[in-house]
Amino acid sequence: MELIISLLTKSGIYAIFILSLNNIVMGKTGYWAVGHLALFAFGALITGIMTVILGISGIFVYLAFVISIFFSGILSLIPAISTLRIRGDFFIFISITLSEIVRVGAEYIAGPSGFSNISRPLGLSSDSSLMYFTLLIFLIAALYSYSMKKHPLKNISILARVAESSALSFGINVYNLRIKMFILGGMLAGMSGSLFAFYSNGTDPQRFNINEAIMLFALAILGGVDSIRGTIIATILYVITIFVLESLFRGPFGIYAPRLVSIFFGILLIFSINFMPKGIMGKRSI
Amino acid sequence: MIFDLLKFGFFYGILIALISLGFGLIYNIMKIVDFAHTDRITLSSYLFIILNEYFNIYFSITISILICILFTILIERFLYSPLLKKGTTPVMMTSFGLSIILQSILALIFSSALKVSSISEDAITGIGLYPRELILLPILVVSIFLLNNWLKNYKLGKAIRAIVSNRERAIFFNVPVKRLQSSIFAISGLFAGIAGISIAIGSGITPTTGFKYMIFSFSACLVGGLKSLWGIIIIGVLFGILLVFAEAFGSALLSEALVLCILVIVLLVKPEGLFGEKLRII
Repeated sequence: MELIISLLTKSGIYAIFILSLNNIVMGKTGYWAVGHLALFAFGALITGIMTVILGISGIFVYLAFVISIFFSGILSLIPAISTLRIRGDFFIFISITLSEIVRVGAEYIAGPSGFSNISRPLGLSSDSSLMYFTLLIFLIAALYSYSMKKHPLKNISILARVAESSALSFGINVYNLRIKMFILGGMLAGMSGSLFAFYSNGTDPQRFNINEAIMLFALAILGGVDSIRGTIIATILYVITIFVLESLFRGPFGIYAPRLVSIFFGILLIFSINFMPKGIMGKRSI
Repeated sequence: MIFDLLKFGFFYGILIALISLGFGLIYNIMKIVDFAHTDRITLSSYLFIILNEYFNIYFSITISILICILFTILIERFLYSPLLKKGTTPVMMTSFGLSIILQSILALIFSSALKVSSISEDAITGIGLYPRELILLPILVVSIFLLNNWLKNYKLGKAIRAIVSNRERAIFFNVPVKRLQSSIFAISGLFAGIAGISIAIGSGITPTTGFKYMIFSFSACLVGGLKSLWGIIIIGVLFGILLVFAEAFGSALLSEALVLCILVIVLLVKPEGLFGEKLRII
């Protein structure tokens, strides 16, 4: 039972992250935010700073949760503003660089092994309550994303993504729309990062490095851009793969598990980008 | 003290410039940033260390550089070129996936412990530098002049410049694009092999060492302007000096953070790089 709760919580956290990546940022703006994990790491980092360094506990941890979401939204302004000048491959460069900066910053502030003993907010101290909270947030985010897809004004964002100059000629404020989407995606990613910090009681820097970012990006593509079902499938694949490989290689062979995970997702990345650009559930290619 | 740091920084910068030059050459011919470039450096380092346990130094240097070049060409022929028709971004992500796979395989084989070569070299008295550092400077200077001369004055070099400026038109004029592309990748692999051997003799190697050099050389490339080889070299050397100073007065993390912050500012303010010509990226 504990295992199921742990796996479900982890799935919920990564589902929120992948939803923010492939439904909000990539789905609505069309930018390849490869280093979107930066915002996840930033949310976890701010939560760690608030609870460990500043020593917030009890009901005020909710405040830390909100503040880390807020700061992740602010950090996502950097890629959002950069889209005014650059696009294509150069956006990928800036995204990767941002993710690296956050990793270096996290290592500088929290030390090489990250924060530990992050206190959970009041009422979420048990694992099952955290699971319900995470799944609830994912449900809300998914419903919001779904309603955005069914909204009559969805064509505005489609036009802004597909034909920017044409949208500009219709008087649509493309940049405003894009920055809004980036901030929303950043806040969701920061939320998942903060939840991850609560879930694992620490900020493991191994979860924030660039290889992890690329793997999660590959999963977002594999699930399919702009698809909620694809998000869920990709997340379950991610969690189950890591769980299976880690339970197969135990004890002295434990060091092999993360390498094999990397190899598996590296092959998956090459395969999904080149041969399955639509993903499993996606309607359109990236 | 300051003079010593400048000296060490300069020679460290030469190493970074050599790696960045490979990056820049690949970018110019194919318009991709090859993230697996520094993993070929790691590969050649490991090859050199293993070969050097059984054979003498010259033989192992030659063989490891040759294997590195061969590996580069094979990757280009069988992975990047067939995928290039899907666009440059998928190729870049493919190279990132390849980098992850290579790092993991190396970590599976050699574990993540530091591996040092058995060669012990003494610093040259009076200068305080090692022969491996001194030898990089003539290699870089000679290769950049040969490269410039080749690109300016010879027919094949001109053909390469034609590919760089307009790929489709070069195909139309029957330029042997595939062969020339492979040759540029081979030159880049040569630089990677030389850099890898220098790193193996100097500081030893772990499977993720390449990643550190990737950050530095990637930043040097983008800051210097991807299209200007001289810009890449100048920025590479300056970055080397900056890194040595940052590590001397701060920490290794500080040096990485400085380089990355410079890169973000340059990308936000002047995306074409300091020395690059105006790119059409929007």
